[in-house]
Amino acid sequence: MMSLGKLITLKTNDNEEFKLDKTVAVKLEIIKNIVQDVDCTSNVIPLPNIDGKTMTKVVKYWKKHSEEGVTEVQLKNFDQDFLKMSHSELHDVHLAAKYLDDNQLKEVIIQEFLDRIKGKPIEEIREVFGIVNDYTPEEEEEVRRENAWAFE
Amino acid sequence: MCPLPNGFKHNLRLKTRWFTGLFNSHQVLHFTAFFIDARADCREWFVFQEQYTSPNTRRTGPEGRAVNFSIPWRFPHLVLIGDNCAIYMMLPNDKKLCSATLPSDVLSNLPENVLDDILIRMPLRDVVRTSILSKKWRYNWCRLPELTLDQTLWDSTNESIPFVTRFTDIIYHLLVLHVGPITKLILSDIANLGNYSKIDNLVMFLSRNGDIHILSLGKAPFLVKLSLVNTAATLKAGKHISKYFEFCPALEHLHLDYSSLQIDYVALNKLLLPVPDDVANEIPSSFSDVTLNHLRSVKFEVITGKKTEMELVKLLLAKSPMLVRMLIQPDRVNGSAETRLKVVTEITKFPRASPKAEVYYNSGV
Repeated sequence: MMSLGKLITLKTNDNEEFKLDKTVAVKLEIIKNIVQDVDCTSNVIPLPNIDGKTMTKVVKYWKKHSEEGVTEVQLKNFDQDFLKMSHSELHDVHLAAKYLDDNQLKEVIIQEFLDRIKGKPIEEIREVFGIVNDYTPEEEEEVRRENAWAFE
Repeated sequence: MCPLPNGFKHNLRLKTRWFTGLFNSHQVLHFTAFFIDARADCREWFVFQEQYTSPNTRRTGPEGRAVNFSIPWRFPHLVLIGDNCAIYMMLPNDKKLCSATLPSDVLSNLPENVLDDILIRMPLRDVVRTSILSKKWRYNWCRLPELTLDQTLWDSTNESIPFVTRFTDIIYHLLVLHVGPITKLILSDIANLGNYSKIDNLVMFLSRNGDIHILSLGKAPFLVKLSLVNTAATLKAGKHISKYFEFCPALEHLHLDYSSLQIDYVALNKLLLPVPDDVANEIPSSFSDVTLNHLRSVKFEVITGKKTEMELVKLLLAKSPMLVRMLIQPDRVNGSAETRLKVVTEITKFPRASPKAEVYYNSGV
């Protein structure tokens, strides 16, 4: 059992508070550095760049990934479920992970973006991400010619 | 958070007036409750923290109950402006307005470095294809600092054109349009090239560029001549230099100019395994399976006598049974006569696989 003194409070820019077990929180470089400097068990760590909705996701990820005795398969299933979010939410979590210097989460998000693009025909990528084709047919033909070998 | 939508000021004024009238009344709580319910749907709203004054002011709610505004997140859609005024953050209409100004095309609007992180992990052919997505994407692939060139690039191109031509065209196209540094180049599956001297030119071109950090030639069994000239100072080449030898058994000429190349000692050391000084003439076991049966000439420039350099010299002497000539030019600018003597003494001790090997030490004296 963790004693109550080991809780760390993180506060997002919309004033949502997250109480985290210190053992979970110090896995993050940035939190660890702050904790070293200040007695954070009594203070609140502000996260001015992250909103509550995104932080909820990040915390969910951390908690699962620092669970004791969690199996690889469980984590894989969790990740799969966790990544079911919109592109912009994915981007928000990536920004948060970047701000929190969480390389693992950053990598997971990048990989998810990659999976959403990889192996898909151009038309489908446009559709999935809502990319508007602003080439005229002539221009498009020119680009195809320019990179001809890639389109063969 | 999102950028201010046009017309926001108008809405602000409107809602301020609208809400001031309600404030401190029973209705406030109803509204708060309502908005909290709606919270799940509404994620974009503004917080004016600089205007958020007296966070601990206790306000009196209905029936004299204290409404504690010190926990503002309980009222996420209220912003307090001054002491007596609050506005509701955003109505559903506002949300639409706000969303409209947000880029809906997340992928295209990712910061360049994030996008690069994604694109780097894709096969180069697919990355080049993204140029057709939209105008914004046309040259996105051109700035990738890492290029992996392998058979996926030329395999599916027009088979009627000779391989060498296809290969050259692709490399030419990539390098002509590329902007910025190339820090990593992996070239593999080029067995079909035969004695293709242009690889050497390519490597020269890239290394002269001065910013390549990792250069790896994989599966190049017919590579005959290799020059590395003026390679970047931070080149962590140890591991990769050895890879040349692993995959280039046909290598005949090797030209290494160390003027700015600093073999990463740690990397090479890991590879060579720590060699205690008393067994200095033993060849590290990690190289036991490498033999350069065709290497006939080696030229080292600006050798300073560093341990890694000496290891490389030793390796090449021990593993090249056909070696005829090895030219070593010491660092004449910085090296002292003493170091040069030490280098020569050390080299003469190294075992040689080729009985015909002549080592020229050009001290320039």
